[in-house]
Amino acid sequence: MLRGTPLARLARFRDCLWLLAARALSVRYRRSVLGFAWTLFYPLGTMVILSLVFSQLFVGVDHYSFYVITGVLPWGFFSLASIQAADSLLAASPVLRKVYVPTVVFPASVVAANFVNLLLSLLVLPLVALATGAQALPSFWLLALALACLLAFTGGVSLLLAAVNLFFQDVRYFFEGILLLWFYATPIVYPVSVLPEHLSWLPAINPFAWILLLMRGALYGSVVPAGAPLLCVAFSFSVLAIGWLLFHRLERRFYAWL
Amino acid sequence: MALVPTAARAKAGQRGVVQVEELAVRLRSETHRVRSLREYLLLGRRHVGRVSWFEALSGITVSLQAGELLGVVGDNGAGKTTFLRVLAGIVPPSEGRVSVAGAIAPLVEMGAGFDVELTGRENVFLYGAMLGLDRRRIAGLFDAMVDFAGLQDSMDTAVKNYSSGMVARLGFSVATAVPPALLLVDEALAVGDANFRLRCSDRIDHLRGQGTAVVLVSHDLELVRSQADTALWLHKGRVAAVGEVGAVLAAYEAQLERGGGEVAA
Repeated sequence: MLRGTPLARLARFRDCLWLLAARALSVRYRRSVLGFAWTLFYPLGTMVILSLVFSQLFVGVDHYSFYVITGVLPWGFFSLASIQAADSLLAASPVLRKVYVPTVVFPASVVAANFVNLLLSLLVLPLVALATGAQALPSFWLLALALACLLAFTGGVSLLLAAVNLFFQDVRYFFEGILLLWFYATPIVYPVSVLPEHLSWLPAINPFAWILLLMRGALYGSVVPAGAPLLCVAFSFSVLAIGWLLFHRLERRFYAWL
Repeated sequence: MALVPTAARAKAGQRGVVQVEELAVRLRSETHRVRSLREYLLLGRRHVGRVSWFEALSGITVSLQAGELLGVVGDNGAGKTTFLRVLAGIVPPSEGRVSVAGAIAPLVEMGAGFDVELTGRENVFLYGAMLGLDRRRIAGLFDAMVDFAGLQDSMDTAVKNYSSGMVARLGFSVATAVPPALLLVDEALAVGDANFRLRCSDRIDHLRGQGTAVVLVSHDLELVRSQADTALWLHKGRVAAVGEVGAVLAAYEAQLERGGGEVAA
């Protein structure tokens, strides 16, 4: 029951979290022909299509396909994890109405499953780099930092969405619309240099653009300004903290909406 | 007044394994629910504020000692399932206190935690984890759980291929593998063949012998009469009668014979 702090409850049910994450990963690919390879198929497919379409437009970008995939992979994780997390509590309501399980386990398992997907996809990157002729020497520390920020940011957003979507079931659809705009407001498929003067402030206020900067700094070799890592850590973990606190404050009212 | 004096065991000073004091639960009424952000923005805060609450339970006081079985009877909608949900820790009390000295195993609706796409083996681990057991413990008890359910050959098949009886057996087996302090049973034993029901009641007897308290919600009055140590009759969220089994059931049956209607609580 509601014994101990939220973190203690999560720790007690950590096996439940891992099992739910494993379920999310295995069920998706259980009876498909390519199986787990589908995880890679989508970002690779996106990369190929975008390269074919846009590489003539953005001629200034070295190894455009590699540039695109280093953006598509983290974005894919963020968008998929947050949308799935938004539904996670509602989807779990048959269980939550009968058995006491700390609710945080459900969005957390969704984020964990998608993160595992991301890590496995990253393993394929060196091959893509070889194929496109890009440098494949990631800066491991920067990569670890970028991944930590990405995970924290996604976690915070996911917790918030999961909670709010219980009360207002269309929040998920609003968020999908926001994600669409957000995708184009982030330099995923285009280089920052392409933005006109009057829009140059856009990446500066876009938190995901900062995380992407770190990711690309680690994987693609972009220049990372001095204050960027610290800034990323600061806002990502703040988002996580806010998401966590709000989720647990709202948790007391979940039972009436499940 | 269909009141039966509360049994002596509920005297102050004798704390039971399960202690419920003046429990009241208010739930949101479905009618004025604003379910989408769009509605909220269009209709504004005033509309949301008009949500009405109703008393699902009020003034419930009952206590249970280790090894005792409380039979809960009442018409549909009387609040029996809500009462179980409060005991399970899912619905918080609006007023009053509920305390349970130990782990709680809910048996409401067999296999509620099962995912039909997964195999029996995977579901045992998942369901066990949702009941608060860790993986090592489940692994240690796995063979015993499977043996009790009699499903040794089906563990690697997807649960969607199981019959409802098989699901019930497996769910019951996992939920009772580790003796809880409190076992909650909501007419779940209605599923399954006679053999299974016999094994269930044997296991429940065994658990009671080890100190597990049981709360049984049932429409089967004979079952309650034969198994319960104490009974509770809920009517529209209130205690219509509580205490000695024979007397509570007699009062309830009398009301049924009268054809329902108001009960002075």
